[in-house]
Amino acid sequence: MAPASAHRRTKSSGPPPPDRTLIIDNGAYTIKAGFSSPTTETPTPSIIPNCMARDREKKVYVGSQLSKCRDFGEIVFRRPVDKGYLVNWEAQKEIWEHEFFEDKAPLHCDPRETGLILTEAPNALPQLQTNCDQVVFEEFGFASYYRCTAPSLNAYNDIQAIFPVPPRAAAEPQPQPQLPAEILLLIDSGYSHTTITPLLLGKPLQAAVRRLDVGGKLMTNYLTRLLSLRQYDMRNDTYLVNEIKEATCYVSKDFTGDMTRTWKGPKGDRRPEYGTSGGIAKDYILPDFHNRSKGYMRDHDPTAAGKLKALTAGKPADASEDILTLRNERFSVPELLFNPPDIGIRQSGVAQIVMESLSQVPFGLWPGFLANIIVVGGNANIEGFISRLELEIRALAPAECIVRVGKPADPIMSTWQGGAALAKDVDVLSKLSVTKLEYEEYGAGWVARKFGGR
Amino acid sequence: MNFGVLEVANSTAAPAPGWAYVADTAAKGSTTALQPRKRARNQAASSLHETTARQETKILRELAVLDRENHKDVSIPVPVRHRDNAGRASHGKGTTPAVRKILQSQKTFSNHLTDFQALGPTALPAAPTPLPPAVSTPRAAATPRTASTNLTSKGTRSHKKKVPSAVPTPTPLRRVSAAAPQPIKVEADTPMPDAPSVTLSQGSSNPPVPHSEDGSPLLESWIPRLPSQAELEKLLSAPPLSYEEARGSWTLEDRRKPVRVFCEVCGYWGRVRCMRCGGRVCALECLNTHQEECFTRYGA
Repeated sequence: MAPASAHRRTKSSGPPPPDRTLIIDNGAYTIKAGFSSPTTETPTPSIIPNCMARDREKKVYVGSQLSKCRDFGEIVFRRPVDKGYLVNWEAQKEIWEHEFFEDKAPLHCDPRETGLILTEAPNALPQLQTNCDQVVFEEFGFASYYRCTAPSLNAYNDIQAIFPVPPRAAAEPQPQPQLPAEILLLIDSGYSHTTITPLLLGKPLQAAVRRLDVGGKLMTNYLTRLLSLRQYDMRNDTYLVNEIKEATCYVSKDFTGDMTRTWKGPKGDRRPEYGTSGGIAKDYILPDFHNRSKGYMRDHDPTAAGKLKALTAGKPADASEDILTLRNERFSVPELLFNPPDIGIRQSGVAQIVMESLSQVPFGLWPGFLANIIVVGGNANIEGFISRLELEIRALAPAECIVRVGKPADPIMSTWQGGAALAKDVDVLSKLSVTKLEYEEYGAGWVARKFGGR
Repeated sequence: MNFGVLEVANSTAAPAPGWAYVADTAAKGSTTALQPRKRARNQAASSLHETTARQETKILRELAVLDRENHKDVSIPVPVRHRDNAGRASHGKGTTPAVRKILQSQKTFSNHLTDFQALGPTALPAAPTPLPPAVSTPRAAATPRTASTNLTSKGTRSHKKKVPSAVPTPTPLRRVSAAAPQPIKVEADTPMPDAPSVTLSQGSSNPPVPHSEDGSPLLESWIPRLPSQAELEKLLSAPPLSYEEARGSWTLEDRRKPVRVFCEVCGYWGRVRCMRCGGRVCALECLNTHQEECFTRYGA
């Protein structure tokens, strides 16, 4: 096979690879995009909301324009990515054009001189993949293109640096990180769903990829429901609820205990600890979009209600603040990741699904995977998620195996960083990607097979 | 979502010789509509996870709500960039018919998913290209090429290989660089199919200093053997699962656990059942709050 691969190399080096590569991690909630090339020192992505939004004044914001929005009340969204997969190209093209191809675009580039690395969620439908390939080449005309599952790019990060160095090895010089990482179990918990992908040398073990249909959107909507039932009607303010979720939610280490702490107790027998609920009760000060454009969280003050009344007596109404008090909402929402049956989803929790995924893998690889679990995606930022996950997996895994769960410094950008590292290695990337010439020569079916590894 | 179509059988009908009285626990629209209240007692599920069709529908409906992007249905049209001479809005080029079709498609993910399921998992994506020989399947894509190269190559084996099921094998005689370098098959995903692409290192750290007690059976550790090269190759070359297959399951172990129910009012454990609607609340106070709004809808 050696001559064949050498031959392949010379052939693909016919047109020189483009100077720089645009890496787009096209998430459902945000696009992580930016350029990388062998000469770029520290590539950094921009985080662009992947949506078109319309506020109550009927003004439409596309992508990064959303940062100009000052009033998020009753804002509605249209997202091109549905359930994690790029479905609506009409909207996606609009956002991409706005971000990459227009003259005044923040990340302007000429696709004919740029390579593209585009991520997709694992187990995409073939039709959607074909659509994607066609649009990339026929509409935008990128010089070269590599479509891959988002988890696999994470293998190009320095995984071992995420975990604490064992004390015995600390004195020794650390070996140079090998890229892609040899063995890695990647959990990608994003807006639409949570996927579990075991990766060997950057390649997914497809038979073991599993998905849990719990993601950020479901949790935000669940919190919306809880708040709307118990306090204010927030159903038209999903954006705001998302901010509340990000600010206040945490994964409980002791669900039953926390539940008891936040219970008000039976009538006539109020629990004395209900007031602050042992520090769990928090107040979220809602923005009014006049004086305060962003809400914030602070400790719950049980006496605040009385004080406020005294303070605002005889004063204009806008001196007061709107407060949401969160108690068990704080931990029962992220609990869905570990106990989806709580709201009737017929799936096991994320730890069980990790074990289900591992059951598809030969036993000899278990120690390696269990010791190298990385969580990326926005939900990895929920406080306590990593430690709870480690706890639960350790309880399920064989006792002899070391279980390590870690998250990168920035779990949201991690996939993109991996892509940037890959783009620095021109040889590897050109072997993986497809040039426009090849696409025109062999057609969409061939490209789909090349990326699918079939 | 197919609301209400999912029917969960929960009748615990015992096979009786002759006939027997069987508890009719299924919620029938006509009969339940006639029973004015205290319907909750009819809803007692016989086991932990068996839900009645009605509960099932309720759960499905609630999950569908949780899956929504916006509370209400909204359509945000793409802003019009420029208008062409005739005054029609144009959204950029859409250079080829295929791309125009993609851009105009308003299908949602569930539309695509049902399409995929209807076509069956074996159906590979139709790849409509603007070129006349529209490529539909990989086999079909391969055939015209092999045929054409066979025709250009000299003589002997020209028409024999046209059978669509024949696997195109690279013939060393052919000058491949000229036209089509047999682009099919494995070389794409595993650039070097022999060893180096999948070898796992055996660890880079130095072995610890040997100790006299190393052989002691108490200290012995057992490490499972790494899978063989062939096994790894097989694992890595497996095709991706379909969307449905990749869905994480509900393990038997978890099914045996009792379902946790929560108070609909305050979120604490739902220890009390409302006699009217069967909803769960935690205690008397929440029950009172609940019953202020609890009404049994007609037929619901």
